[in-house]
Amino acid sequence: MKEKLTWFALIAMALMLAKPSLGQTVITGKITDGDNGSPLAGASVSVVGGQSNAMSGQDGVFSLRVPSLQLKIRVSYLGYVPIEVDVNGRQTINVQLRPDAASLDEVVVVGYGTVKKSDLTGSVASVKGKDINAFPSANLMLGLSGRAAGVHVKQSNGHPGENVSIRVRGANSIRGDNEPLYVIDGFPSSPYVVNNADIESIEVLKDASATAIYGSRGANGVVLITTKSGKAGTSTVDYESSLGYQQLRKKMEVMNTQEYTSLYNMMNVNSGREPYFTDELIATLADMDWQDFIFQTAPIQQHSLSVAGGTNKTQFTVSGSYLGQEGIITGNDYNRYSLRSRISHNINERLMVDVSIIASRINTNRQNSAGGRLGETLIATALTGPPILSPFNEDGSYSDFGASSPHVTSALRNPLNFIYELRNPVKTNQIVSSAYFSYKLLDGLTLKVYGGIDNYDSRYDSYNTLKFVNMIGGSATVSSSQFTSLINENTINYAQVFGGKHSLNAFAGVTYQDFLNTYVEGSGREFLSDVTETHSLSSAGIPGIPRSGYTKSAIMSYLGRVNYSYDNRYLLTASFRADGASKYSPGNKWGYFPSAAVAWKIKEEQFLKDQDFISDLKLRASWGYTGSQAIGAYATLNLLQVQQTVFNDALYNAFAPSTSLPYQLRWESTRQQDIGVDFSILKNRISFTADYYQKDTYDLLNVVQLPSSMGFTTSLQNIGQVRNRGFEFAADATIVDKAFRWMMDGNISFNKSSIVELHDGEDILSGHVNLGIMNDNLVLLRQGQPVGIFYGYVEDGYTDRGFINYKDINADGQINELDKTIIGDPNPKFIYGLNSQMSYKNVDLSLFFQGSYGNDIANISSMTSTLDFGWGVNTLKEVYYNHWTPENPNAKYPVIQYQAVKFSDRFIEDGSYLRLRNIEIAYNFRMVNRFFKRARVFASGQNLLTFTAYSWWDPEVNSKGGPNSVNQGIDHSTYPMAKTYTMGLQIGF
Amino acid sequence: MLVFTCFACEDSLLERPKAITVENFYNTPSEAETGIAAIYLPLRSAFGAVYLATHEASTDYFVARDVMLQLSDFEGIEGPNRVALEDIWHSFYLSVRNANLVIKHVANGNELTDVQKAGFTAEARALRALNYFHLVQNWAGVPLRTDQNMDVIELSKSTAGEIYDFILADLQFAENLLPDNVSRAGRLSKWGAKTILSHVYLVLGRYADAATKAAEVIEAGKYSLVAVSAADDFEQVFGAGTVNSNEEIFYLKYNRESPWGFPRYLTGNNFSYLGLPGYYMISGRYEMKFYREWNNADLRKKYGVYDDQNVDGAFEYDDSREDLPNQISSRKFRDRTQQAARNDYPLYRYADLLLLYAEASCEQAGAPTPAGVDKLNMVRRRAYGYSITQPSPVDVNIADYDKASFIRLVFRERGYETHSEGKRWLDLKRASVGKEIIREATGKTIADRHLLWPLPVMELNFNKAIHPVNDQNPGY
Repeated sequence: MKEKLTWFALIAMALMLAKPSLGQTVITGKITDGDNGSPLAGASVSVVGGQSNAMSGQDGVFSLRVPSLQLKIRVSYLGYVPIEVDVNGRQTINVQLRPDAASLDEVVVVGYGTVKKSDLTGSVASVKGKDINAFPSANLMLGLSGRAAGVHVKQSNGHPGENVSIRVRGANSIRGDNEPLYVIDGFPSSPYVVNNADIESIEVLKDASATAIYGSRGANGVVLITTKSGKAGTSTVDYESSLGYQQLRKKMEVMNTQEYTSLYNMMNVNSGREPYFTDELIATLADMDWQDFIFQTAPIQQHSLSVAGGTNKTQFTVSGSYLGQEGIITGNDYNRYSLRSRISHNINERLMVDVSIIASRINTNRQNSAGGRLGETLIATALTGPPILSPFNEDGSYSDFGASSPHVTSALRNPLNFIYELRNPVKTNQIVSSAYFSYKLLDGLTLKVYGGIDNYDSRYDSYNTLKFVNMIGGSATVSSSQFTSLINENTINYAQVFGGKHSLNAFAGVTYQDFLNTYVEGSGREFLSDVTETHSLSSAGIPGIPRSGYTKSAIMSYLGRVNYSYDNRYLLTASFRADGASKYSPGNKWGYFPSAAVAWKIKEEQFLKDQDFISDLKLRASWGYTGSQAIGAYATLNLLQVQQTVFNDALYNAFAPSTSLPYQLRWESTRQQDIGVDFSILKNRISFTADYYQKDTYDLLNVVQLPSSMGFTTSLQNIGQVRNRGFEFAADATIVDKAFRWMMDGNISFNKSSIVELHDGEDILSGHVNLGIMNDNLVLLRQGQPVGIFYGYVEDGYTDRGFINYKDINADGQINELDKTIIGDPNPKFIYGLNSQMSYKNVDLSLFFQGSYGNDIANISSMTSTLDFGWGVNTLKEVYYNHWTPENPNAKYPVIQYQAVKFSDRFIEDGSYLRLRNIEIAYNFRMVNRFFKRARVFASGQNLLTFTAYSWWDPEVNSKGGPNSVNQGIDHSTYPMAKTYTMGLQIGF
Repeated sequence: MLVFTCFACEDSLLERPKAITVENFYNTPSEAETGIAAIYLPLRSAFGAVYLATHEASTDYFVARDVMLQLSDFEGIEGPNRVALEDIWHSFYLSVRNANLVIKHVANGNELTDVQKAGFTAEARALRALNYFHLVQNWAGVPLRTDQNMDVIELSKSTAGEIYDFILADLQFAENLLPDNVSRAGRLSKWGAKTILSHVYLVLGRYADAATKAAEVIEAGKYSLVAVSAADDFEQVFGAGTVNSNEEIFYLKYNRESPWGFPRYLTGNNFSYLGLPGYYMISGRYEMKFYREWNNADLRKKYGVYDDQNVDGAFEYDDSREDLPNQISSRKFRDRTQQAARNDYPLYRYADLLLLYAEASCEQAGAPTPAGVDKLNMVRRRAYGYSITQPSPVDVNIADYDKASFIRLVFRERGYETHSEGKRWLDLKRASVGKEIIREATGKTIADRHLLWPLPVMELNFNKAIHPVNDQNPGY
């Protein structure tokens, strides 16, 4: 607060000094935002054709000395449409500026610098902080979904705070990380530390010309996250708050007790046994739908307060935020507290310093129990839990599913065990801090020395209580991990215009970043009491073996880039980066990543310059190489692992390699070509961007499965080439621009991946799932096919006894692995987003749709919940009403009798969807007074409408997704996504 | 400045893991011992539960329930049971790999004496042979992974004969290089290797070799049967608290930290022989001939089995009972206070060897031999609580038996002795009387396809040298 007063004093002094001298005329006035009436500080006011100019102050008020009152003044502000006003003898002029939807003067952040949007040679998608922050989410990147062409955002599951996977222009790598590189204000780090409200903009670098400057980490695209910073001459305080309620989108229809008992009696009869459930017995049974028990309506809330401002010499921003989300599954949550501050100070005209710190604390209670066989996990139990059982016995203890009836396996567990007797809190502290000095050596020549520390400490406590079913004495594990990354980047930049037409911007640097991971873990089981939880491992009856680990890797790089433009018409960018990585074996450590791009600003040519209809036209073309750090540290070394075996009655160490066979590895490199056009008309009222690209990734690293007789089951090898080709279109338009304003923007991307070459042309099987009833690989990589297609059997009706028949594809009279064929493709034909913003007077309405078309989902969840009758699991209602009988031979489901099944086309479903991701109605108060500058209240809903044919909980599902997974689009008893109703307010002081 | 940075960087790009690499290992005796321990580890996993349960499900004294029920039909293995065997296959081969690593690297161990090298190599080769012995009995021809071809990915099947030749070579190499007494119970001694060798000869029908080798172990006088006077004295043989006994030739060891899963497959639901309810995956039936013929005075019966209507008492036949039992379960490997059993798996007990000798000597001679009958009687005397060395009322008389009836007798005795030990199916399968015993006990005929297990999909998918159809075992 004291600081803030100082700022006010400084500004007041500046205003006093600017007081006009006697004998001249002064115009005063106030500049405000035409939409919400908030004052615009730092707007520039100048006399058209004259020398005089001024800047608006804190309250938007300006004061301009003018020679007379018969002239025009020009008022401009970044991001707003500038206007000229006839003074016409007035001494007080209030000006309202309109936000400019598509300003070409906008500056876009690129790798190691910024560039005017109109000067871009590469393909870069820019999303504003306002859009990212449209609705509260524990994960920043969810806000990116549907906002940028070519950027596919996928959430693996609905667990609060769950990581999001992003694919920029398809997946390049089979084994490797396909996630883009995240760079926060210049620091390659994890994006989860940043609060949504702190985002100024997010830029996604897509083509090689934009990404090659990140060399070996650029192949999957680069996401640059820029946080808000204070502006000179202003001082703002913003408070935002929202509260939402999340719910399960839809329930599955499972059998009730009457149907369940009838079905299992039927199964007994079909299997030649006596029916088990008698009418007398049925009368004593409960009737539960475990979904009602497991899912809840859960709150999500977000609050943030930020203060920003500064003088010409010093700018600052400080913000604090809290996000609290409970899961729609009882007993898990996510709480993030974050603080951020950034100060930059001009020491003198040449030297400046900038310091930034982002600190966050995340407390989350995880509910990891998903997937698995039958009902051995919490999420599976929601559907497989038998309806005949109550959660509690009469004495208040948890009912034991396994002991309840001879049908029910003890692998099925009462979900109360997971909810109340299993605790998995994770507590994380992360600090990303960095500082730089920049020094102007000469006019146009700047040296920058940048250093930073990213520190991430996490503690995971896992506790099974004494009450957990089928477990004596509970168990506890405590694991603490530390991650530290140090970075140093030394760069030099030269910018100069020669002879008025030749503009040069060159940059070179040497950088180093290392990554150190350590962990320590202790465990024990058989405790006397739950009181100690994980905090007294020494009281364990059976102490576990303590573990610890260490990995370190480093990257060292030389990099440079030249931007040249001639006459603002022809633009050329060339860049080069040499990366040395410790992860690769000697001789293979260095990789070289060049790129080049050209652009032609046709609009600047004489024949278009004075053309009014076309306001911008630019052609772009680029080429370049990027790489992927697809492997972990020490992946090329044949390390021994320690385990324990027993002699006498004691444990002895046993050293042996893991089941992964090490191999000599080369870099994975991606060559990408891109051509694009930027086109806008009617004074940028409608603008359009289109790109076509082709990416070829060579020397793919992949886990090659080995025959299990080798002892080794997998090996990492460089095995081939993948190609991604696609079109991207993005458009925005101001459709109506009157008192009622309507703007729309949208994007659509078509990506087609294809495996060009595999080692010896051989198929690679992946996505291994063992459900008991089925054990197979679901996913195939095959030359000429898209990445990650589903590979299985084709059904051919039922046998005489009602069992599933499979097609004998190779007609050899047997059904075996040779009859597997391609049965689905998880890759969408296209993904799209459509955003509509309407405003009338004080009211805004925005609608944001997002969707995916043409992707298949392998619904493995349904395998247990519709076909696995061996264990007393509950199944879908429709199984009971629509299964094979001699009278109903073409039923949807086979005869009610246990049989092992194969992974077949039955489980492949169309996963296309169109979803109203966000709808928001907001009211802006025009209440500029001494307390508020602006105030806004809104009500919104997320995922309220979903159009899909997918049968299970939610089409946005990716159970086996993750940074290095080719196994996309598999649904295996996964935490479903929620729909949310939100209310909130935003106030500016 | 750039030059300096570059020197620094090249150095920072070298990897210095804080872990041991294969290439720098197996140099000292303690390193080699931890490498040897890694051969035992997957072997223990293989015998952990499913393998034994799968075998016990196809016997004359157990039937399985639910998904395992199919195994008691003797019509082959499909679905989840087939899937479960893939892990067993991998466990045996993981043990083979770890043995191959020791064999390959110990030879170059720079701090090992030649005697130590020979000892470690012998232990690794004998254990490798044991793994192949189980692979070949269940799958017949399998790929032969040796220390010479470890890196070859695609390797065709060797014939069962080739695998047996390899097993014999390994065991014959090892049998005299292994120690007389092991440093830690649970490791293989020379007597253990000879017992395995004798068993291999028996399975191959080389009865003379089997009898000679078994006699060599018996005459060495290292082992004896643990004397029993009451049923509960069998705790000293099978009990969770028994770490070692005179009867132990080669056991796989389990303890509290690293327990054994199989007992839970045997014990009944909510009954009290383990700290947790058992799965009762495999259990006997009241009407089974096996239990009806089993003398109530046999302490093995008193100790080992119980019925669900009389959990704490002995299971005896009494058709006037009103509460006829649904299941007869095994409590042979009991550990009442633990959620997982600490009992050891008795892969080779002295009793196994005595019965092996009785059978082999009879087969060799074409008629029961006095020595063979004596061995059988030793086992019987102990079972009824008599002195093992003195004649007893339960002794059988050589005059009452010809070859065929004596072999049947040995098999019946083996059934009582190794009940719940997962050995019965392989015994029945190798012997000519096996099909007959099953038919008499269950009325079922063993289908040919039930005799061999299907080669795993995880092998066929990735080993192109094995044809998924032509090389697959018959009926799969």
